[in-house]
Amino acid sequence: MSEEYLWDGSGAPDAEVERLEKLLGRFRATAAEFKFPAASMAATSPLATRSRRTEWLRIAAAAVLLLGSIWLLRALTGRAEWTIAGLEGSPRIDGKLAERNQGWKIGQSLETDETSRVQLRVDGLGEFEVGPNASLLLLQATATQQQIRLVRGTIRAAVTAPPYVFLVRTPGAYAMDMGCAYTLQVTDAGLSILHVTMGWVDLQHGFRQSLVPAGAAAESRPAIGPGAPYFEDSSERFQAALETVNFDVERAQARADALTVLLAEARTRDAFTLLNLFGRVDAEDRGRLYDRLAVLLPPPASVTRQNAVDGDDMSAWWDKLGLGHVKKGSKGPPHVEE
Amino acid sequence: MPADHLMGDFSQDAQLVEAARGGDHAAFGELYGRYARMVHGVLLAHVPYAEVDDLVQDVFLVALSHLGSLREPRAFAGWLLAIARNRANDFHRRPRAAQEFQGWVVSNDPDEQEARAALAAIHSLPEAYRETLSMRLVEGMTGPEIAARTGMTPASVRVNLHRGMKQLRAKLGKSANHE
Repeated sequence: MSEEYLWDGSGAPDAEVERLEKLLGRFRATAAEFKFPAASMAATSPLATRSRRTEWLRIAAAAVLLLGSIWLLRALTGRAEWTIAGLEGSPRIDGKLAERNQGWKIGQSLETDETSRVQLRVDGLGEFEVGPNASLLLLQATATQQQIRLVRGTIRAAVTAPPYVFLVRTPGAYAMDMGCAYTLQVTDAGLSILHVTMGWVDLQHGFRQSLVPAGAAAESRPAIGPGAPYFEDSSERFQAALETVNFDVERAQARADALTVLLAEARTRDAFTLLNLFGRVDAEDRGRLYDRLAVLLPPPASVTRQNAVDGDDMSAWWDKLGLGHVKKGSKGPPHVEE
Repeated sequence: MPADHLMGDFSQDAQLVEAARGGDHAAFGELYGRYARMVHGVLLAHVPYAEVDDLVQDVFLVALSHLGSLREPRAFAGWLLAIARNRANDFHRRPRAAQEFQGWVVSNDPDEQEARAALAAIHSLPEAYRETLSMRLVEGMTGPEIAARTGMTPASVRVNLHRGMKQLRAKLGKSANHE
C-alpha cells in the first residue's frame, strides 16, 4: 500500500484507503459550530466583540436582534421548560423513577441517590448537571425567571440566559447567574460552596453580597450569608483564616487573629478578597486591611485610609483589580422572598 | 495541513482558553472549530454513530463548564481528549448502551451496509488504532494533523495508522470472504 497516501494524502492514492475514505465520510462530523443555548450571543464578552470585524458585528447584531426577539417572545409567552436530557442510575421526580426527555415541572422535587445523576436542559437557556445524593425543588420556570431550591448535593450549571434569569436558592444564599458556568454544592448541614468556572455569579443574602468571578469560590452559611470570595489558588492558610473571618461571627478575637494570618498570607491576586472584606469587618480591622491592601495594590488617589476606616465606597479601588465588569443585564436582581 | 503549521497551536489554544474563561463565547466557539473533528473521531471509535453528535456536544459542554479547573491552558487538547474518552466510557457503563449499539436501522443500500461494516471493523480494533483510523478515514484528518491536534508524536500516529490499517484490511478481507 502507499504509506504516504495513508499518512497525509500525498503520493499515489491507495485504492482501498480511498474507498474507505469515501464510504466512511458519511459518518464525518457535520456540526460546524458549538450549540450554545439560544441566548448565548447576548452573553458574549464586549472584549471579544471588539475584536471582530465590521462584517461580524453586523452578523452578530442581527443574531442578537433575532435571539433577543425569540427571548422576548418566550418572555411574553412565559414558556421555558426543564427537560431531562440524560440520566444515569435511578433519579426520581416526586418519588417516581425519572425518564429521559421527561419534563420537570414547578413544585416537583428531583432526587438522586449515590449512583444517580441527571442532565437537565432548559429551553435554550442553560444546561444543568445534578450529581449523586442531591435533592432539588423547581420553584419557578418562566423565560424571565428560573428558580430552583438546592436542598443538598451538587449541581453544575452552564447558563447563557441574560443576567439574573437563573436563581438557585441554598440555605445560605441565593446564587444569581450572570451568564456563566459554575458548580454549587450544599452539604447536609446546609453549608454551600460555589466554584465559578466562567463569567460571574452574584451571591446574596440579606445585606450581604459577593460577586464571584471565574476562578474564584465562595462559601455561604445559613443565617450568615455569603462569605467574601477567594481565588482557589490562594494558600490553604489564607483560606482557613478567611473561613474564620467570614463565619466565626461570635468570636471577635478569633476573627482578629485570623485576619492577621490572612493579611500575611495575601498575595497581590488576593487583593480581590481583601477588598471584599471591607464591608465585613469593624473599623479597626478596616484600617489594617487598608494598610496591607495598599502594599499589594496601591490605592487610587481618591481613596484614603480614613475613607476605608469610615466604610466609604471603595469602587475606585475595585477598578484597579482589572477583573473587568459584570455583564449588564436588561433587568436587575430579582426580589426574593422566603 | 502541514504539521509545523499546527505545532504552534497549543499557545493559541491557551489564548483562546483564557479568553473563554473570561466569558468570550467566540473564543470557545473557535476551540470547538479546532477540535470538534478530533472529538467526533475519538467518540466514533467507541460509541454508536447515532450517539456521537450528542456526545460531542456533551464533551464541549463539560469542557465549557470546567474550563476554570484546567490548570495549564496549553494542555487543552489532551484534557479535551480525556473528557471525550471518559464520556465514551460513561456511555458504556449505562445498562442500555449495548442495545443501542446494535440498534442501527438496517439499510438496503450496499454502500451503506459496507460503510457500517467498515465502521464495525474499526470498532473491533485496539483502541489506539481505532481512534487514529477514525480520525484519518472518517474525519479526513491527515497524520500530521492528528499528531498536532492530539499531542501524539508523528511517529506514533504513523505506526498506529500503518498497523491499524493492516489489521483493518485483514478484518474486512475476512468478512468479505465470509459473504
